[in-house]
Amino acid sequence: MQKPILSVRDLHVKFKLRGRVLHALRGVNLDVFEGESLAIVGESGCGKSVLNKNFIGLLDQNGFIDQGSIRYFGMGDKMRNHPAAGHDQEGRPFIDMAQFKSNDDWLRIRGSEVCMIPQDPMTSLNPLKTIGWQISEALELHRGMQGKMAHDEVIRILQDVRIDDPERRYKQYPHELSGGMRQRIVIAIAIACQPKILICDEPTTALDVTIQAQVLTLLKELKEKYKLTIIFITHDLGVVANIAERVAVMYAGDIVELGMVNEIFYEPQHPYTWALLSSLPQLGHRGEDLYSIKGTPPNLFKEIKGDAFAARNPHALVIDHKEQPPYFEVSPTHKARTWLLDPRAPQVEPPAALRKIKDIGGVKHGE
Amino acid sequence: MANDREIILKVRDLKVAFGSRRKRFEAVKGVSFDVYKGETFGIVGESGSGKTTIGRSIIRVYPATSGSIKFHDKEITGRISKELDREITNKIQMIFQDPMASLNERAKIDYIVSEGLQGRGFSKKEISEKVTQALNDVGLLPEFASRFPHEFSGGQRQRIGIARALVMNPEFIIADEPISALDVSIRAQVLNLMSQLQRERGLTYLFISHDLSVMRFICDRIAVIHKGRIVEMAETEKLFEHPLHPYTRALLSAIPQPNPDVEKNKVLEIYDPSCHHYDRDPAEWTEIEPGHHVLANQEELAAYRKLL
Repeated sequence: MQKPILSVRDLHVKFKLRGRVLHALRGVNLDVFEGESLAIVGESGCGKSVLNKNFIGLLDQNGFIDQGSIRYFGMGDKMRNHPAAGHDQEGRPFIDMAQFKSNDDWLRIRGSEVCMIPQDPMTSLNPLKTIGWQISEALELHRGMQGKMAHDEVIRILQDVRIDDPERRYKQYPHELSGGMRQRIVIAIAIACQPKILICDEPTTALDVTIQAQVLTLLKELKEKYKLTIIFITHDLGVVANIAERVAVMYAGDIVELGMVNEIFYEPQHPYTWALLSSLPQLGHRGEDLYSIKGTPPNLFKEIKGDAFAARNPHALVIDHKEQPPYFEVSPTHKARTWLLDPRAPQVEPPAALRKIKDIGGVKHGE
Repeated sequence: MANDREIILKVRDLKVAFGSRRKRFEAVKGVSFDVYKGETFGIVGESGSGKTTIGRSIIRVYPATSGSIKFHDKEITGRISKELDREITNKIQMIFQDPMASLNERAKIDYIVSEGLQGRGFSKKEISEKVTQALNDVGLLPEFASRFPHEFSGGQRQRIGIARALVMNPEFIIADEPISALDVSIRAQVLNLMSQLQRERGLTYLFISHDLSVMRFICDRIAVIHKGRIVEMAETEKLFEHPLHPYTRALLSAIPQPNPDVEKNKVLEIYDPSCHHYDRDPAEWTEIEPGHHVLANQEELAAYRKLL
């Protein structure tokens, strides 16, 4: 049995916007296990970034945690005197990040415990400082290294992220590097802090396919080498298939399906997951329409009654409009929030096109 | 086979260079291709490969340094008459990548969509009719005309971008990464809209993208461009089944496939330009089988023929 390093329970996050309240996360429950790579997928606006910003204390000023807890187990006893600290049933010490009030609390988490790789490497590096300076800054702040020691460590990390000629790159500025290299530098800065959890917010969306594939390979290597737990936010299902061990599908501020990567791709249960997979261009035929989800996501300013996806769901049952479904377990690692899994529900077959997922990319090129 | 089809756009040995003398940079280094009427022709390549530059030089944003671009057999590079210029602006339109950045934030939708019609002798009534029609065609409500771009979602904005192109009643649309900035589900909607419009109006698309899985779905023929040169061009399925040029194969191997079993065991091919020996045996643009062109020298051609 794997142990969770991060445990989110019934998390509600709201935003105050022009006198109205937007309910961005509606009771999220999620365990992130130590050393795994978990992908969170969903459309923009489904709350996947908001969820992860909670883990690093970067929620926007107008956002607040309404209720729920975020227990982090990675610190051991280090913060035991903090009012938010505690022990779970098994006696493992944790710190509840949902109760953090001051920025000082977050400074102990950010970097040394949880790190984030933002989407766009063009905007996340300081254009006025050299690569070496930016990486050694992280070393100085988080690991107290200075001078020659820091320099040597930077060179070692640059080699780890597969940058050629690190001595020369050390003195270069971000504008001298290509997009893929810059993203490697951003990864290097994150690695330099030696975090336990690495949150990757669409780290390859801005990159070319060939570079993207290389960066993904690099992340997998680093995960093994540094024993990282990776949370990967993306909407590219191809990337998910590549990097993830487990997948959480989010819709309208809630996780609607959670399972191992093979379970999500080959035996999806939630109609939203079906719809998401069906709209893949790889499953379409040229000259025919691609499957697309009708309608728009629900307005999160209003209270949502029943299943959030019901209005767009061709398989919606009457109860979907009235009551929110609980999680139904499909296997010990796979659960979905849909009434279709209730024993009383009618049998609904997933779209036939989904069976073809197993065949995607099956043809080997150039043989 | 394809020879009897009408050629709408003929590009021959197109070169586009920026800067001058010492800082001269050749973005497009001699590109030739034909686009047939009613088809979707795709140009795929990495950033910096020159794919956008080709699109922009067709629409005369960047002047071609040399070579020719013929639209309906009429030369459209260099100095052209005012009438022809006007005709081209009507008939060739563009859809841009980022619907957040390509719409004027301070203008209302009716102005954005109608801008191309202004000063062309249409009455106000005609213009507003055309705008309503164009909005209808892309599946937006006519009352949206009095709103501002920020009131719309990404997918709706891209529809506005398409309406703006459609209102001119074009024959040829250059779509420069039209869906890269969109979500998976909205992507499907925009792709469907584009193919629906193609069926209804017989539009021809030049589809520029880096996303090969979308290209495979929408394009009839694909040209793979690397550093300003087309390295391979073929009908879509042919290209996917028999990729010949090492760069094409590297690109194809890099596409992330939404299939975990395949992804876990995939082998990346990395393209290394030094695998060519063009100094002793220069490469030529050769039609290796009907409709399948590849940039290769004699030695490579012999090897490629074995693969077919």
